Amino acid sequence: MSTEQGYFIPDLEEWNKRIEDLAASFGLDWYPQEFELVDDSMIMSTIAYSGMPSHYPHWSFGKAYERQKTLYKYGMGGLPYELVINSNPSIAYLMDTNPLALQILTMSHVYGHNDFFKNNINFRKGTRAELALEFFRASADRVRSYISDPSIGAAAVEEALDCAHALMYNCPRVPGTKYVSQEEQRKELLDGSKNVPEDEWSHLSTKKVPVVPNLKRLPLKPEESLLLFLRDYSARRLEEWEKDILTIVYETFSYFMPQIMTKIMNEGWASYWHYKIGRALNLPASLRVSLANFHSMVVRSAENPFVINPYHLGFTIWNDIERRYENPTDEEKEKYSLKGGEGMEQIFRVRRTANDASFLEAYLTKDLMVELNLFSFVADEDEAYVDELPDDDSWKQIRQTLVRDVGMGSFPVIKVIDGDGSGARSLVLKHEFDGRHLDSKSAKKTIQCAYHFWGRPVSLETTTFKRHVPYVFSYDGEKSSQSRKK
Amino acid sequence: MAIFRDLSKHKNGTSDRVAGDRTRHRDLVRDAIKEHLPDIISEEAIIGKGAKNTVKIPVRSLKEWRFKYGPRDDGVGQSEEAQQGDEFQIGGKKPGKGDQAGDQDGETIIEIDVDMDYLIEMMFEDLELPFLDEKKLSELKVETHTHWKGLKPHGIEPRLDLEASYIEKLTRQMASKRAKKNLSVDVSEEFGKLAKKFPFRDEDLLYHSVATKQEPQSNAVIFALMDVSGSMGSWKKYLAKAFLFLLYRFIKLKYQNVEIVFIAHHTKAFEVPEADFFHLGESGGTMISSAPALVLKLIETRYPPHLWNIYSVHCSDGDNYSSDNSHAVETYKALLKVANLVGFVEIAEENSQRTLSGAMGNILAEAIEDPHFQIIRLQDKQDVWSGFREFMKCDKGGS
Repeated sequence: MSTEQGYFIPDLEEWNKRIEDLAASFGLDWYPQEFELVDDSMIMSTIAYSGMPSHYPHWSFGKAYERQKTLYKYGMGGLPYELVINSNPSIAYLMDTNPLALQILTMSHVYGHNDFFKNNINFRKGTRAELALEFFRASADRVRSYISDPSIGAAAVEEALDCAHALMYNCPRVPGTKYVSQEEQRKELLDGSKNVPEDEWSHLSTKKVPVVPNLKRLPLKPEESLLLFLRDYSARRLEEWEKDILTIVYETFSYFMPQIMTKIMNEGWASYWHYKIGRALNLPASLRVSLANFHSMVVRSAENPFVINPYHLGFTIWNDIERRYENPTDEEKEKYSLKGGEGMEQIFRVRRTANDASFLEAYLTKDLMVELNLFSFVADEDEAYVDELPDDDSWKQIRQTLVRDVGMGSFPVIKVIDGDGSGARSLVLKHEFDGRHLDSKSAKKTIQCAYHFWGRPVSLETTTFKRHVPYVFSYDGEKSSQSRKK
Repeated sequence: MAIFRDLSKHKNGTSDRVAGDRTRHRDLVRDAIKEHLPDIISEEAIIGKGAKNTVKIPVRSLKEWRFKYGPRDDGVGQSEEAQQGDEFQIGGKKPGKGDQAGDQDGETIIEIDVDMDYLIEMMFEDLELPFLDEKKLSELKVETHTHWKGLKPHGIEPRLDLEASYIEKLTRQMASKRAKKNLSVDVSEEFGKLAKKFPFRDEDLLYHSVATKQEPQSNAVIFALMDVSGSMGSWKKYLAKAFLFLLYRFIKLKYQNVEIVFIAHHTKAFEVPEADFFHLGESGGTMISSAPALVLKLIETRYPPHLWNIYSVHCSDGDNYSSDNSHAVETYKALLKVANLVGFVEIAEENSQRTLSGAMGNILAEAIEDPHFQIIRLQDKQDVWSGFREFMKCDKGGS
């Protein structure tokens, strides 16, 4: 392996030992790490399955592969040189054609990610790393068994997965939120209303009418876990395998959600550490130069002005936090009430507690925005115009727009508000309008996906893009319709 | 200390993981591929010796639906050059530039590898050779394949069935052991040495018996005629090749016992081997009649009409020595008497609007009224595919 590149596995192991020693000395804390050396077609198929060694089959992963391959061919997306999964032990993939300097950078980068997976609260609350591989393997096996079951078959499984995928983004946005069934919720409410806690002032109040919740509502309160609600309360009878598919897709997405929520932080963190470890390694000149080149390729800004490179953004912010908290200027001491000498402490604290939205909100300063050449734009269909550059008046608004769009912010919030329909068992979903309108075509198609599991008419309440009028899309099993909400 | 595993040599493992899902995806975008067929077949690369086995086809990727936002009203971008009021196209480029391998939300163009055979199959799935005479079927049985059918005591070494032979030998040995017990004379001395040296006796050996399956097959011969005279420039030759190449791939796909005879002509016609046909240069004057004349000769000597379904397709720009015109008409009329279908593919100059009034196509069209005689006109790349389909469907009252 890699004779052309001039190194063998024992060389990598030696570098790895040095990297781990440095990482430990810096205070990084990681799951046991495993590295697999693969070629480019293998890495592309691994990417298609998000790095998981086992995964249930679906054509969308074939599409992901083709897309990756196309981008790679047209030089529009370098093959991710690094791929590492959130599991214990963690597995990372190294491309066998990469030169040594890049492998060193990659390995260092991987420990940054591993540390992040192990310590960031979104992962700790939302995923169980030691169960991850087993979960994916078991899910893959069960889905395959449904496909080869003659009473179910590939077509039915594909249809179920198509629909489940369409709806999986609509779930609770706080990682680790426990799904509470309607029965349990009812019980909680009942218990709650019985045990109204007595406080020291209660004897002064004249009225003590307990509020009796309407226990007949389904759902009792707007439900965020769309897939699980369909699974448990559908108007038609679902087969066990259908329910299992809903569960599998829900849990698979839950597993990945923390990664969606922390992309900028996580990539920035790993870049920060590959850079720090890279320097601390005291590499011979040729390796040092190569590594520096690779590093600048990783963190340079994207060519497309509408794409912000998360590596670049994250790396810049982490460095800024460390510097400010370690050696604040007098102005900064004043402005941010900083003492100094807390650089490391602060970045480790932030990596434990934040997500992209809070990260940007707290640490994307106006100066950074100027340094990063950020700007806000307004758009109409395909055309966009630069609106504001960051200055004293505009920067907060620009940051707010960015915060709105990161993490789960790019997915509309849709909740179930009615599954009873006064006995008719029609399903009503509601889009929590925040100024951004839904795409009508995909909304209509996705409603049909909900119908597939629900079995009775489904409708979605939203707001139109013209004149901000409340609007309803519906599907009754045969045709779609839309109308103003009455 | 981390664990390292080298999987780069185990190509059959992980890299094929995604094959099933890619195939399924490709099947789902099949319709999208079909749309592109006219463009694909016009691609020069698929014609001739250098034909690849997989073709890259750009298709719009299949949509994965979900609730999502419509086109955005606003957002944040990053660029050193941004000035207030600057205009950009979402998709990254300044207005005016095209959009290749784009990555716009939901509208991704991806390139997928499609097997050439899959492509050909798709192109031709609803086509059959027109005017194929079923009558000829009963007269000609063709050996389709051989298969093993039982065992027999004689045969050639490659067909020796060792297992069956061994069982025979054992059976004989056990029988002779029993027999020896019953014999008063001990013959083991005499036969013993021989038995050890030649464990198998001739009578033990068993061979596979081979039978050939015979099935009635339609028998067809296609004469592919190409005008390689000086007036056939590279564009015209290219269209001719594309058309004939389609015919060629189609025949190979659908019919097992079809022969293709390649004839090139200028003032004279000559048979050429398949390998050269698509790579001929051009020169000389044009005598269109020379080609069908040669066809008639070959029919006489090699392809008797009562045994063969005969097809002839002639690609030319129709630019003939006027003295030859009437002879060409006569030769074609003669050919029509014995052929199932005769096609004349007239190729016009690129971007020309006129139909050559003195051209062969028109002359033939006027002189010959016969549904078994088809004139196809090609001018653009797109015509190749549509012309071909028309030709293939001519006995079904047009596509």
